[in-house]
Amino acid sequence: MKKLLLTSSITFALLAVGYGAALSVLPNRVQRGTIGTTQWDRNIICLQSYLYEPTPDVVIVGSSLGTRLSELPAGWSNLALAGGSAMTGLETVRRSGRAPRLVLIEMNFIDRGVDEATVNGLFMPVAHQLRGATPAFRHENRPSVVTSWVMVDLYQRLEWRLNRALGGDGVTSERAKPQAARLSEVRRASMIDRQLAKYEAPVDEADIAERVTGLRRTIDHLAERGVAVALFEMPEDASLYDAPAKVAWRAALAEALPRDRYHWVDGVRWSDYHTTDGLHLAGEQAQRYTRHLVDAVGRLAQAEPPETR
Amino acid sequence: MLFNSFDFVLLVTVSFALYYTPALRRLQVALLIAASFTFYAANSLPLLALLVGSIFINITTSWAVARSSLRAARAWAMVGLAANLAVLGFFKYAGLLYRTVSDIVQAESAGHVLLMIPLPIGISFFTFQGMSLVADTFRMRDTDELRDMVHASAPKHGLHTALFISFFPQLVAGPIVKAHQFMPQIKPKTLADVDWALCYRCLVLGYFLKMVIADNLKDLTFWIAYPHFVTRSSAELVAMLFGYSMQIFADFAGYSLIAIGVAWLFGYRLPQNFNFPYIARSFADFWRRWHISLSTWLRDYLYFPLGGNRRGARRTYFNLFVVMFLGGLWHGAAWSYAVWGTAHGLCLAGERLLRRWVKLPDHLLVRIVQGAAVFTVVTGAWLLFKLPRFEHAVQYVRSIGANGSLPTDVSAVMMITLFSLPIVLYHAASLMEQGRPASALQAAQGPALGVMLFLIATNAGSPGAFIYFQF
Repeated sequence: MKKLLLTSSITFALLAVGYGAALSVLPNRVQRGTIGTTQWDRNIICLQSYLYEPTPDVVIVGSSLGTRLSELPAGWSNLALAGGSAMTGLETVRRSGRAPRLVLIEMNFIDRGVDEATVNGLFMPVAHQLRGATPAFRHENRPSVVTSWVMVDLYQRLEWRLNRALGGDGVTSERAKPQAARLSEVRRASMIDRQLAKYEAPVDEADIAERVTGLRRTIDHLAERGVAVALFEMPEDASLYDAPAKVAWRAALAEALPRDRYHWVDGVRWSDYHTTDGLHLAGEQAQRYTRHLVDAVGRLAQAEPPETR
Repeated sequence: MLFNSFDFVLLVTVSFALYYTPALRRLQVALLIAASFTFYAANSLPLLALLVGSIFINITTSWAVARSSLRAARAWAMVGLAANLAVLGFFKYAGLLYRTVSDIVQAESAGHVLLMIPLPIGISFFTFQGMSLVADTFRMRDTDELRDMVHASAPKHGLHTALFISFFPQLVAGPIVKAHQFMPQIKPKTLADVDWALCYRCLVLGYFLKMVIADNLKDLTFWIAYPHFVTRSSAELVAMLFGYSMQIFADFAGYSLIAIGVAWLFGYRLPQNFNFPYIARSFADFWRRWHISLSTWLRDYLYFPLGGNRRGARRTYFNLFVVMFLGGLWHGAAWSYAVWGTAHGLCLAGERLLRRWVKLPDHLLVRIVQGAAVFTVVTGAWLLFKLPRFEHAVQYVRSIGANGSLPTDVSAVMMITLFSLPIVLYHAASLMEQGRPASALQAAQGPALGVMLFLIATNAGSPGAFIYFQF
């Protein structure tokens, strides 16, 4: 047993030290590449970067809708999580004990609760401190990410050469993906129908009340730490605006978080925006909404703070 | 409470410290029961009452079986088995029964409340263990081994049964322990009883399989779910199915190894649950290697009592079919699981039939083809675990053929390959092990465990529940 423990511990130590040293000399694009990561990996990378990098001035928490916000000003950090909700990002901000100047909360999928497993994983004792001290233990530096970057790079070089040798245009399958990923109108319409069916399902008033109360409690907790909070709703497909679930949530939020006491970013007309699938804004549309948000935050900074509780 | 959560580590650490405190040695069984109840209550406090109820049923019926005349003992055994089946049937299958009946008669009724019955975590495991206690007690009535099964003192029998049913390392996802394997082990333990090397190997390998392999593959195979798969290319669909096959093995084998390792910390030996299943060359061989504790339970308590293979060929095929149908349904309250079990039953019966007529040569190529054929069918059948609606599984298979022209996410395919590789190597190592000196392999164990520890620390995926928790 002693020998087993000793050899495995030495191997572990050698790998940890060697890998840490290797990371420091690898190009930045390898360390922070998005190749070899899933949307859940990217969520964790995003949350860890908030925990281990200097505290940003403005933090956005939200769902996959918020991940589309692009070209953010310096000092802004986007903790919107694909497949998740603002609640997980908000809980991370709360538990981190850090105090950004402003937290922007995207309300579109606020019905999704906190992903406890993810948040507990972030703050797992020992692992949390280890990641803080040694970047090699952070999610963005996982050996599989580095390995897959090398593998995909090799594959694309090979594919490109083969393609050119055969008289092609040199476009690799990976580079061709974004174009191919565009949805047909038929499929887009069916996705909007499916989303509408979800929004038309009966809502649980008690559940909404409980979640809204939890949200208000977290916002008040942040306010006590000196963190300002503003709420915003991103545009989705216009046909979804008046769906029963949307209306019910909007009413509950307006009642629990009234505009005279909480900051709200002015809404936009949903029909002025186009989505790729009924929910997510297309690239240039997302940039337009980002500008709207940045302008609103600028106005908030000049405005009187809402009446304190 | 996940095995890879801080809460679980804390529970094990505190329980371990108290367990081996000399002053508390007489309370070891009670301490483990308390730890087990805490573990179960952390998942669902109200359903702890059901676990306690199940324990009570098995304490009383096994006690009565051991202390009654043969005729009365048989009656008590029947009561015990029926009560266990009733608990399992009501909590796990009442909703399925209601859905099926209402689909047939096309009518809604007040019975829809059956759909709201919560599924208690681990119910399939602890009721099967309870049944094994009742059955083993009945079988051993007139033997000396009965003393190990049913303690002479009723309160101690109660405590032993409570520990057997609720022992937290294997409470919610196995391995399913049979009473005759566990009850004789209940005695005071010291640190000298612990096989530390085995414990260390099981825990490191188990956590590696779960946190590094299964949790990473989980996110990559997520898109098998309907309707996401329809937009994926053929290569991605095949890769995801292959990855899911690796994931389900890593997830369940990882859980079993952690359970075995944690049980060893408290001086208890749990049975091996996996033995390199993907190198099986026949379906019978596969079931001797996959979820061994379930397949041996079904063999001992269902297949043999039905007559096994001793009542002629037709009856054997029938028995195989019934056992696998019920074994499939054991996995979940959906007909897709029954279809999955039935498919395996048909394969088992089919290969048995084929073996009577065809004698294959013992050649390397033949062995490879056999192994590949079994693996392909087994992997294809896992689709029913991920896509419980049969029409979606069929559509998935069709999409493999139809989506050849869609662009492939090369990165995703490579990641699936990367995370599946350790499982392939793990199985390959078992083949290489045959005929090699044990010392060479033992020398490689330390560094291999070191690499696994490094990857657990640096490359764990986002934590997810164990797939078998739902069963």
